[in-house]
Amino acid sequence: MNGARLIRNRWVMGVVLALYGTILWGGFHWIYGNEIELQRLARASDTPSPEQAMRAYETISRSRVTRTNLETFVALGNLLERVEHWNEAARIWRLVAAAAPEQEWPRGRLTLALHNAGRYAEAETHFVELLGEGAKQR
Amino acid sequence: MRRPSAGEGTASLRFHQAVMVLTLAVYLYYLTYRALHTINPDAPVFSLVFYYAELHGFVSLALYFFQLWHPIRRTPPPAPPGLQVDVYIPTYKEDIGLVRKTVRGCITMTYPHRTYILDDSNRPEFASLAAELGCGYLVRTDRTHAKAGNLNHALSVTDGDFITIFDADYVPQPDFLDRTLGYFVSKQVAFVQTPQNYYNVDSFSTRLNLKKRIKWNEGDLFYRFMMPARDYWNSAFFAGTSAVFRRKALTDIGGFATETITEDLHTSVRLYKRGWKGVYHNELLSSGLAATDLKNYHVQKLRWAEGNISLLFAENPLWTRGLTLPQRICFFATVFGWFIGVPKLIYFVTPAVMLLTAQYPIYPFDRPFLWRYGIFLSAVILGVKIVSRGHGRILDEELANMMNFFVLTKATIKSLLRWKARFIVTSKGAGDAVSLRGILPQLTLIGLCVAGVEWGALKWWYEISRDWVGLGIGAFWTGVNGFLAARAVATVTAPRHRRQEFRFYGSLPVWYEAEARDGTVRGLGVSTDLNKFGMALMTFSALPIGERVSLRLYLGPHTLTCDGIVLYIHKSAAMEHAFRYGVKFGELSDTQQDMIAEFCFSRMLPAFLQRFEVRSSFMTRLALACYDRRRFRQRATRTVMSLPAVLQADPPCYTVTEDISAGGLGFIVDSPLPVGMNAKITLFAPCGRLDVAIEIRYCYAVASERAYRVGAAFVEPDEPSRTILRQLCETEHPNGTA
Repeated sequence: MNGARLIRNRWVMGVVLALYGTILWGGFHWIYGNEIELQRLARASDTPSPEQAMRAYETISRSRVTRTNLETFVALGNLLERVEHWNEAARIWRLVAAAAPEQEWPRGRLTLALHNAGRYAEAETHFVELLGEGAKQR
Repeated sequence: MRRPSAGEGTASLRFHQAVMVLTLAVYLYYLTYRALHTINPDAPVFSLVFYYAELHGFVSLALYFFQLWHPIRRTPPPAPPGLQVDVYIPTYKEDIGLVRKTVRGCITMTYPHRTYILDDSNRPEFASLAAELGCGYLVRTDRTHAKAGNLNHALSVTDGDFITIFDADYVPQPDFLDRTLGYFVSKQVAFVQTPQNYYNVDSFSTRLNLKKRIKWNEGDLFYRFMMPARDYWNSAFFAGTSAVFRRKALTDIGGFATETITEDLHTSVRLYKRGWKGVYHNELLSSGLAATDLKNYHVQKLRWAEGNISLLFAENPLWTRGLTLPQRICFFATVFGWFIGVPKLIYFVTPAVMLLTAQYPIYPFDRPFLWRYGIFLSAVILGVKIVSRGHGRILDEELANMMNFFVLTKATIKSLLRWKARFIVTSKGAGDAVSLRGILPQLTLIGLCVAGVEWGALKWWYEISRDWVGLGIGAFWTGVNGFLAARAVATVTAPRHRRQEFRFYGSLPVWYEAEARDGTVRGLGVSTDLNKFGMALMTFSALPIGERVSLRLYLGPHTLTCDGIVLYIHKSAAMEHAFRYGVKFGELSDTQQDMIAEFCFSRMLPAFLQRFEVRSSFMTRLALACYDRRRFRQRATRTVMSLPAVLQADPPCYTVTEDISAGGLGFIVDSPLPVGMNAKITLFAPCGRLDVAIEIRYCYAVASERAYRVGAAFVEPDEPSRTILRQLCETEHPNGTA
């Protein structure tokens, strides 16, 4: 059968599209498996186990933070805070703050994480900076 | 020479010019905002590539508007008698049947001239054809410089003061020379170009809607609107066919340019450089064959694109000496138009890439950007629509871009890398089946768009991205591009009648007589399409399938008597007392075939094309849309209907109705009828025969001095006639739109 006639056959195109869609779905899960798992953990009402959170941290924190994937890192930061891994959370907030320097809240979260991790001197530096900027804006 | 008048009133012209300026201002503001606030630092290359596409769009739009600044309308001066005219038909690989039609068309042009076949293949059958039809036959020993070389050789061995050129598939109207030679009264005029038109309207590059009277071909905007507008800037150009040249002008520049594969544009630039003038006569005076398959369509596009772009290196219109500033801009616009492949590729791919990679070419998609984007998009669409005065059909043009983007991208890259382009002749005739290779770029794009939309949906579903606006815009444009690609694939793969030759649409009366089981069946029917091999025949009595039928075709002033075989009945058209059959002619002599071809080209085609000529302006259509349509229709609309009719005169005139209402009818005749004249007409309808008196209300030529469209009102029809007319107008006729 001619290729062009094959394209106009609804059944053939339906099967091809279904197959293609399934492959894409599988590919998506393969590529974004960690992010999907992270979002599942973030949405769960029970506190996730530290092991699960650290697994997510180890896989996701390797990738580069950009403005378009900030949500994933924010979810990771929140998750790490929930399992009280403050040092890792501080690292994530530092990455988020670097990717979106015009935003104040990641630096606020960084300050709190550093404080909770017992790194008071670092927390103080960031906190003073934030207060200074706030005063200037006012 | 008479000074060309503006194509419209001053107020309308100023309005359109204001729209152009405003649209460009909005575009420029948008581009400035984009550059200052929305270049994404996370994806600088992607962002700048997309910005280039938008910038390219702005330059294209500005050049388009510049060309359309002041459309003009020319009235042709009468052709002076006694000019020495040579007609050239260059041919290389074309089929002899195709060339025969062109030669016949050229020979039947009424202004005295000599016709030459310029055969670059040196074929004996073409020499015989020339001898049979009484035209010159020229061959050359070498084939250097393809078509341009062929034309230059003919120039060197003929001596006419004016040279007319037709491609091997372009059949002129009989009055072609009468309508164009008058412009040469002005000694400065080097050439007169007329529009190119394609008669095979069933080709995939033409969109045809008979009911709405819409015919769109991607060349129409250029040939019917842009070229006449460029004429204002004295920068209309020779388009390869359907043009008349002054020999002196060609001699002045050393003949047709041979340095590029588009000798037409290059020759025009050289003529303008020498101070000659060009004229664009915007009247359909010849018709050719559009590429019937995708492969040849792409070959043609590639050749035009490569040839036009190569002009930048051969004789760059921006800095070559002798051109005026508007001419430089117009010719640069012509070349620049062929660079559209790359930006289109960027536009088509970007949204899907954006969804797949989460790299945004525009960032942020915030409210300040969105409202500016909305205004920009609306202004550009509306601006183009208004300025194009009904010629611009954005969806169809985008569809054409979708079909061409890959070929044009290839042409751009090849030309910029200075790869040598070859003059590949487009083969004409019945097209090949579409191969998957030809539509691979569109199929790849469909795959990419499906992936992009699914990817975006999954990201939204799993909340991997919460940038709803970015995802939404990306998914929308990916969907639009995927739809365009799917439409393009559907268009080129659509099953079409793969006839050996195109059948012309139009109606003519046909007398038929056949032997059926119950005795002899005879009557007057209507042919709704025709070529030299067969026709569609509508009758009001059943004909036997597979049997011989005697036919008498009323081809204007001539009558053709022949036999045919009824091959099949058109099932969808079968209704009570009306039948539509496919009829194949028996063996026709060359003279009979020529008679049919001549009628098709000089009578049926102009009448058919005339249906699509009349266009109301955008504002008028807008006003009509707001008007109470029911009231309007009650007074004006007639039912499009093809019924055989006989106008009682001496001799009786056989015709077919074009439209009919309870108050009157329209039909075509061979000679003009005086307005106010009373006559009797007999109509043959499925519900009976109708003899009625009419009064001629208007009469105008549809193919100059060959066919006239007549509008007539019924004069006090009796009650039975009224009943038949009411029945006719109330029921949808099976071939009403034929």
